[in-house]
Amino acid sequence: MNLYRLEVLRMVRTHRWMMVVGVYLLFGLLGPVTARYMGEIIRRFGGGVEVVLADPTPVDGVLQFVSNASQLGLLAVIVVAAGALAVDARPEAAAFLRARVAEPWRLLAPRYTVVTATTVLALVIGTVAMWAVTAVLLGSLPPGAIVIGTVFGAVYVAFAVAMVAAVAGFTRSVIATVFTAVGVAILLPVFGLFPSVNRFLPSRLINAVVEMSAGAPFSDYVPALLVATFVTPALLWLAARRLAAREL
Amino acid sequence: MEEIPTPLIVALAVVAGLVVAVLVDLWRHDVRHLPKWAWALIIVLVSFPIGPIAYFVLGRVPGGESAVRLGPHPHRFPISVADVTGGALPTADAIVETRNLTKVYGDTVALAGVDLVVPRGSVYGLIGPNGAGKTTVLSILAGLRRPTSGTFTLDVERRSVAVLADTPQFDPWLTAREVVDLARYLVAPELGATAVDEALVEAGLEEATQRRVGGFSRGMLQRLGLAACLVGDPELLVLDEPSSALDPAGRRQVLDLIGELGRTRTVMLSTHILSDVQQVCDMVGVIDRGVLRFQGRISDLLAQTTASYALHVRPPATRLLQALGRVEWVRRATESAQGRITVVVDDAERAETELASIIAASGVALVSLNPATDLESAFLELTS
Repeated sequence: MNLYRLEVLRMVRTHRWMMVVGVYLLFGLLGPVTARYMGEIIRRFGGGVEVVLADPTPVDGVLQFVSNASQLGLLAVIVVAAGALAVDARPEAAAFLRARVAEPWRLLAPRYTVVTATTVLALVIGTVAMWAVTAVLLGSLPPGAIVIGTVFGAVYVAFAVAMVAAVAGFTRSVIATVFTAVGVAILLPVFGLFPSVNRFLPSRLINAVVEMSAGAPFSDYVPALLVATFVTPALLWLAARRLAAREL
Repeated sequence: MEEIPTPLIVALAVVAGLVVAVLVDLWRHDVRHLPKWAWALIIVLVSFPIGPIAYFVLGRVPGGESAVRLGPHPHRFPISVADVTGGALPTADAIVETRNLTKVYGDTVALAGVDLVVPRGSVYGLIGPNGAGKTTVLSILAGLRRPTSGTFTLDVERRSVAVLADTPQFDPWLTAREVVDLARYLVAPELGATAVDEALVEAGLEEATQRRVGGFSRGMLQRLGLAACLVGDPELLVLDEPSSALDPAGRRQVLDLIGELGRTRTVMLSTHILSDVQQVCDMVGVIDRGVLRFQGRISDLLAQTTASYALHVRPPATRLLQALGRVEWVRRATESAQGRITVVVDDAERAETELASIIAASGVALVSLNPATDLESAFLELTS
């Protein structure tokens, strides 16, 4: 039994993986369906309101998926990540590991890796589901844009999990970590209201798959990609420092 | 009216099915933080899947884990650093040595210049009332807290120090064998799987190796913590209240185990159960409000404690009490029950020479006379 296996067991035996994969898969399946049948849904449940919608396109399927997954999916990721990365949430259980593991990164690395891998897997499963249903209901999507956009999404997920790890370094309980991380995740895109800042925000990577499917160039996301790539290890370093500094 | 599209019906059915499945799960499991009815409302009313996620991650108690909340933190008493006193022991072969160890939380001094010396190969009992600073000392030695000032030396590799918390907890979804195997991996990965089995047998858990920890009683958790300590074959065992949660049989087993371990290893344990210390420890440190009041052999502690004797006489004992009240070396003579007298003396030598004749002269029939200076009275004298 090593620390990586411990984290895999945490993910599997507590069924947390189902939450993340379930959310992404659900929206992967529902996104294109919602886009395809939005007109019918409004006509059926809209109470007689007549809304004229343009014919749905394949990009609308991606948009529906991303807009839902970027909110509830991210919330699920934060909750699951906080459950693993709030190392000291139960001090007596933490004492078992921390009395035996002197270097905090040895505790953080498996937790971060397993949560991120699970989340990226969930993102890929959701994207594949969305891609397949979109192809059936709305038409084909450009494979290059979907693959690269998903990679960008995965980079953002890795950043988001690292952000939760850093937050957990300042808070102790799971609930405090969740609420603080959600607050940070909500605040971050607010800075995007400043156009000069927007292109550097990692949260921009969430929409890359939509915009690239609609024809946006790869280069639009390089600044955000670079920021996420450098900030993620910095957040993990901060998390490790905070963990080392904290007493049980 | 236009038909509802089939994919939408399927999706709604999936969502409804998941909500029902989560509600069934809620009905079958223990929950924490909120009552079940509140979780049911959250699952149904809060938009899917936030409610079910919140329940699964925050509310569900997996694997039979108890939903009991942790108790309050121990009290700490504000004291003056100037109160520091401490015994002295030869430090030549000390495995643990602290120098002026001080820990301050805000404006509260939890440890005030503690100088501990734990000789190699000893079973050292750190005793003191609740909130005295025992756990703080052990936590500092375990590397879980840092001293505000002062130093400590462990003359042993860090991986050869095993630490048992006072209320050990483990991830409830692990089996007992997995917990001990994880401890083995962390401190002695070169050891084989047989070390895990041996540690579990030594701690008396051979029947529960494949059971998930979530269903364990406090006593079993304590034994599991001991097994996790033993698996790495440590040189120094630091045990915080190792027998406090155990039933009499379990306590006997753990004390026997500690006694056995003490033959080949150094054991440092904290407790407020004085009979445990008397049974297994050869060295003792008495700590009270962060100050080390005594450190040394138990026999030395008893020797420097005010002597007292327990008399059992045929009542009435009035004449004997009056006679004792006139004796200059008798500090106090009290009758706790009919015919049961405790005599506290200033001069043990004179008491042992003259007490029998005083009883005889009083004309009161003596049933028994025994020394009453035990660890408890010594402890109370030091800490009261």
